[in-house]
Amino acid sequence: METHQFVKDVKAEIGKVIIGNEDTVEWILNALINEGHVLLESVPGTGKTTLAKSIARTIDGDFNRIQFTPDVLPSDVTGIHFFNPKEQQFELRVGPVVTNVLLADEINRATPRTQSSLLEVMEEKQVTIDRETVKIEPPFIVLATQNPIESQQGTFDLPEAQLDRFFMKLKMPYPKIEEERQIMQAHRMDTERPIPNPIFTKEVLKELSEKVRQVHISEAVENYILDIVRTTREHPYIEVGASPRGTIALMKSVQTEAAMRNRSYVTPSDVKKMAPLVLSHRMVLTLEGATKHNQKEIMGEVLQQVNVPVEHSVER
Amino acid sequence: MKQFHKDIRNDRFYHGLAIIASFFIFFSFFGIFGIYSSLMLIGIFLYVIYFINHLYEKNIDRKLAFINLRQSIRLYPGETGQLEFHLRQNGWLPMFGARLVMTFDSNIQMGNQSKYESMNISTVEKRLNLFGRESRKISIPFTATKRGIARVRSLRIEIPSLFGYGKITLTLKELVKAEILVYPEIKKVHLNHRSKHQKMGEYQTNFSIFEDPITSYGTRDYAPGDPLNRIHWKSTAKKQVFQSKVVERVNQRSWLILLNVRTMDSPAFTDRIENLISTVAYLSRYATMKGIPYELLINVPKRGNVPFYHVSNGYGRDHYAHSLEVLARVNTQGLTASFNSCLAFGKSIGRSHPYVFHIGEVEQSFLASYQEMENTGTSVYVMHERFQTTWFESFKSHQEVAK
Repeated sequence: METHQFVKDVKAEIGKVIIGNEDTVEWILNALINEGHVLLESVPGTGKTTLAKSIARTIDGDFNRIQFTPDVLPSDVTGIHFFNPKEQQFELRVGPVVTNVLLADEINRATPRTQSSLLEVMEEKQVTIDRETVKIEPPFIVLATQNPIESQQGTFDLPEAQLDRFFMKLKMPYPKIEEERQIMQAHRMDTERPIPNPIFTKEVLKELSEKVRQVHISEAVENYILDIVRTTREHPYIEVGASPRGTIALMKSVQTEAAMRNRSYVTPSDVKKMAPLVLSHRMVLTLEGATKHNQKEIMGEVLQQVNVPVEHSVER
Repeated sequence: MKQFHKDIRNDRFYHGLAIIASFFIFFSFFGIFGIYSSLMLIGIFLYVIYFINHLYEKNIDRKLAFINLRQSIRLYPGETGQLEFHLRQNGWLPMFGARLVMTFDSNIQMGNQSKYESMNISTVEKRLNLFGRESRKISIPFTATKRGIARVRSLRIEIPSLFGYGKITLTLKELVKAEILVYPEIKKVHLNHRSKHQKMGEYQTNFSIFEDPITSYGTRDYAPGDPLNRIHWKSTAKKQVFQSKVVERVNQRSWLILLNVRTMDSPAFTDRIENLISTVAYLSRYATMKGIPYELLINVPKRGNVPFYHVSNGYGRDHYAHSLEVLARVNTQGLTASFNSCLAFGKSIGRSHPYVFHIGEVEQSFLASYQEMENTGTSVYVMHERFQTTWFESFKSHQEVAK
């Protein structure tokens, strides 16, 4: 199965429910192929949860949803040991986190303690409950949504360590006028919206993932990725730059991007395209930097600073 | 709709051109060959010049587009930035030797060529050549000089007419959507305030005598003395052993910063306003770095539920950026509001803040309000200045000094 053809099929399936936002869908698929977690952020009412649900439905596997509120406890996420009086022993009851696709809706409404309960499972794909470790069968993908932190009433910023575990952070834009017209027309009658069919089987995901790893990255592009990452660590407005986990995520995302364009090699433009999506949320800005720019703007500056490799020479 | 208002100024020779051309053509009819036909040729030539020039003047702005993109640049004084504009000539008519003239607020300095027109407005000029069907990016570097908002107040393009007989001035009708925000300077203040946990609040902390019963983060086995309403029934049912909720410890540690921009007994802005604003900027920065939430009230009027400049309670980098933006927007040419009404509002919200900082003049009429706050357990600090040094003293010691 060709990656680009498969992506086209999935987009068509999701297109049954989601109108527009094609780029966002493509980027989420990029993350899925890499078994990466995705954080969707935008103002209320732009379809984050609908998109996350639709994507989750295309994956053939277990699906769980946690609606985060300030009173959700870490044990509500991971699970508990409970005493079974019939058997006279403690039994393990795993939480909703043990699944293939986890939709973490409004993740920033949970307290930092509850948010932290996802740290282990997101990185190591296992969950430890009272000294008992439960391995999660691949694929394991977290699709999280959050509203931008405008008012701090009842919301908690995600800690940096948690943000770093997200493969991508995507902002969903408002739909274009024509797309909004289509949305309006689709919702004119209160008919039930179609549900996408599950087409991302475990086997397909594994096959795609293996294919993507075959995409060639030349030494020049490799150096370009490293230069970008290094520059994020040296920029005066960045307190904490991209982590090595970020480097790996960028490499994987550009390979997938190339495969999705039906190429067997990565170009610097792939890196330029994916770097803001994969690295921006991993950077912590200084106080001065945060008052003047946002992370995407700083990432744009970083990309401007780093020399882009070209065939015969180096051009800024 | 055309983006530019056009003003054409031609010199007297140009107006005379058509008359001269008519004169030549008229006299050319008195003869058939020789000098008379030359007169006709010159006449026609002059007419052609006149006509082409007329067409040029009429159509130069027909397809000229100024791409008015929203730009918001934030800087600290002394930093440099760059304004960028895009001009696109969609028609075929070129512009040679044109000048782009811009007026802007003078809290920024554009290049070396900017001239002061008045106290608050400066002008800058830039040479501009644009061919037909060409798009050009115009970059204008600038340096932020002092706190405030700088906007481009007017933008015009002066184009010499095609044969140099006059000038076409195109003035942009719409507002340029560029805003440069110059943050206040941050002036260090001596702050010998000690954090005391006196009140119950909503900020999570590791050590406090207060607990927030709503924010439970786990359960533990029931211990004798735990109130019944602390029992987590769901967890008890699951574990078959009584479980009590473990809740967050909380306290109140937020600040209320009050800035009085007025001089003593007068509605005018104080001369020390920049200094005071710098002090507020420092306090905001300090609070942000220490993770202390703060609220800011300034007695500058505005419309809305809170009729003053107000930054509601919050913390973190975005909150700090918002505070700096509000401070940058304090316009000393504008109006001030009574600090007493500002203080009355402050008192109503001040109950939730254990610390209040007063910046600016302290009038006799404020003392009763501050005393009332102190009586309810709020610590009030008042700003003092001497020999370029700024520090805060508790309200108690301030009153003792005043006595």
